[in-house]
Amino acid sequence: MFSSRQNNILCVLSMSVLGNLYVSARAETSEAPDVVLSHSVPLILDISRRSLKNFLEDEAALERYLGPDGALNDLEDAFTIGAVHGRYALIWDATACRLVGVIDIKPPSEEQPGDPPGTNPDPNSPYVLLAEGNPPLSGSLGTFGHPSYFGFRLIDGLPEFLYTHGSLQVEERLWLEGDGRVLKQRFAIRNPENPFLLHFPASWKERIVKTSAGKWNGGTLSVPHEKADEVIITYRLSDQPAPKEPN
Amino acid sequence: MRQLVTVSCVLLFYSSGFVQEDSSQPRPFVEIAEQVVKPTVKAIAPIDDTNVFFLNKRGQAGVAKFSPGLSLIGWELYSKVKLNSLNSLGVGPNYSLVTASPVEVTQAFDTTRDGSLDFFQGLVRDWQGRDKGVQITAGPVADSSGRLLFALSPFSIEEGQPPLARLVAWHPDSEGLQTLTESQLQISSFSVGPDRILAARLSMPAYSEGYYISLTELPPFLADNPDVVPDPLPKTLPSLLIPAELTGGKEPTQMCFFVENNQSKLILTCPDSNQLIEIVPEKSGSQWQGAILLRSRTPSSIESVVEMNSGLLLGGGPDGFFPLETPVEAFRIKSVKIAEDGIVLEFSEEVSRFHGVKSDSYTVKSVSLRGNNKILEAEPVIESDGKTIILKTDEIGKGVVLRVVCQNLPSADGDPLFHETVFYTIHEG
Repeated sequence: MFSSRQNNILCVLSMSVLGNLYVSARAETSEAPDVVLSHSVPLILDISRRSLKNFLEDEAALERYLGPDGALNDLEDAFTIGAVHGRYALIWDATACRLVGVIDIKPPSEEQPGDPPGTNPDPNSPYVLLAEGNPPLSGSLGTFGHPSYFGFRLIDGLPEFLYTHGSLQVEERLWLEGDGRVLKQRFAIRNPENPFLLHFPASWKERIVKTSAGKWNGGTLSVPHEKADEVIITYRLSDQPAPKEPN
Repeated sequence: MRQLVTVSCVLLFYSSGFVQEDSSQPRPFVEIAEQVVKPTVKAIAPIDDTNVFFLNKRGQAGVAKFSPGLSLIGWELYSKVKLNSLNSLGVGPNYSLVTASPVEVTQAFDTTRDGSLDFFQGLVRDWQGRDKGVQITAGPVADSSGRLLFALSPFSIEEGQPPLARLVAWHPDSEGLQTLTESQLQISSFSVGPDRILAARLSMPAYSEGYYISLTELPPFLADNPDVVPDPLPKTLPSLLIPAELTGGKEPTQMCFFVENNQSKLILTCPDSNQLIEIVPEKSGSQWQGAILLRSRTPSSIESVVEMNSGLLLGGGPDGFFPLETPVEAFRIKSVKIAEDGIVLEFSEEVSRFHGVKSDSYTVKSVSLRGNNKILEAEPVIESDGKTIILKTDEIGKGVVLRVVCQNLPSADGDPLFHETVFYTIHEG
């Protein structure tokens, strides 16, 4: 018998052994695989939508998934995003309109060459990042109620999720760099009228190595009005030193 | 060899402000390359006589080009994104595609006009009972009035009411979803035919003797009052029973209306038994009944069937696309009808008169929906064309499924029948 956690991992693994899936998907086309190995450019991503068992643990983050009878709903039609032969899968969910987790799809004991031991703080957890608290834009001027998903688009092959949170029209783009060990998250507010705030759990803040704009106050990034059309957050997913960005 | 599919230039505008596209530049071509690998096919949507969109087993959209005789020339993916799609695909304006997962109707666009879908809008994500687990079970299907139809799993509108499955319609001019039919049984697939006839496969997992199909006339769409609720609301009731012995004991999955010999028919896929079932609907009073025949056995599993604009049928499954030609080569029962004086069987070729005139060449069984089954005495009369036999019987009655077996009836040339059993459902009316 598998525990719920193990089932979740197996579920993700079975659906998203992304490199393998990508290779088999490519076998259906006439094109040769166009793998990008550069450390500083976005990687080709495999994007799929699947329903997953709800793996969130934080009470506030789970609130969006509670039915009227208090039952916990699955992550329905969640986006699973990963790089070719990559180690990490990103899970973005349209119900909560947020990145709900980043999963290390290799077993924790299977360290990669060059990884220092103990890459993951919890050796039993496959989750490098796990959503906690309210959605990141909560608390910004103009936000109210729950975020509402509109759709997604592909910008040069990278998924950009479009949603509203109160009066804010939000574009959130995700991609991987550095052999898939660096996550970039881009937020943009259309026609911004005010500065906005982005809240990050402490465990996420620890992995943020760079922001393109804004000032930190604890776990909150305050993005000024004039920079609200783009802020890029860079996360280190493995404890291996992140590749240097070009100047 | 590369073939081109012309895609016209159009205007897209999303009032949300997220996307805007103009039509000032000509749209390029979608390039269709000849492929060694066959695509897997779980849903097909025709574009014209020789081009289709399709969904593969991974939920990726593709486009395929065929010769006029439906030989595959080539195909390409239209999107590499793997959607969690049900086995149905609709074509929207401007070569957009509409799919549905259990929790979302999605419309996908090629806004950059590079032959690849790049914008996926969550068109419908909310409906009554959504927070209580009500999900999309079938669709979407686009109807002739521009609506998107899909089926929802059973739910009660008010506490204490029985849960009902519903077929609903979305239209851009409507304020919300419009309920078109209600049903006690969940709809697992459906198709809309001429004159707004809805054919729906009703799910009844505990019943293993056969599979129920409902034929229902949909209420008209009133463009000037799109939110009007039909009164009374049509009920999706079981109309026809497809006996399990005709499907090889396997479930019919997808269905499609088509026209053959000026007659509207329904074809159903049974991918697990490689069989195609044909239904010839007939309206009797306010109810639908009709004949049920085995149309053909296919060399490979067929998941999806569509009628191309040319009138030809195209099937698709795990082993690619297959033109589904009318099975003319085999000696077969072409139709069964009920006349005042008995059962009329039409064959594809002249029957052996020696065997055809013998009563023991036939077995006619009346299976009552109330459990009163009986064997009917049948006196055969061969018409002058040699291809039509009237089985004169006692009064057939109402509320029965007729099972007619021609167990010893070769053609005049000595060929055996392709399949010797046909069924006909008669309602009480």
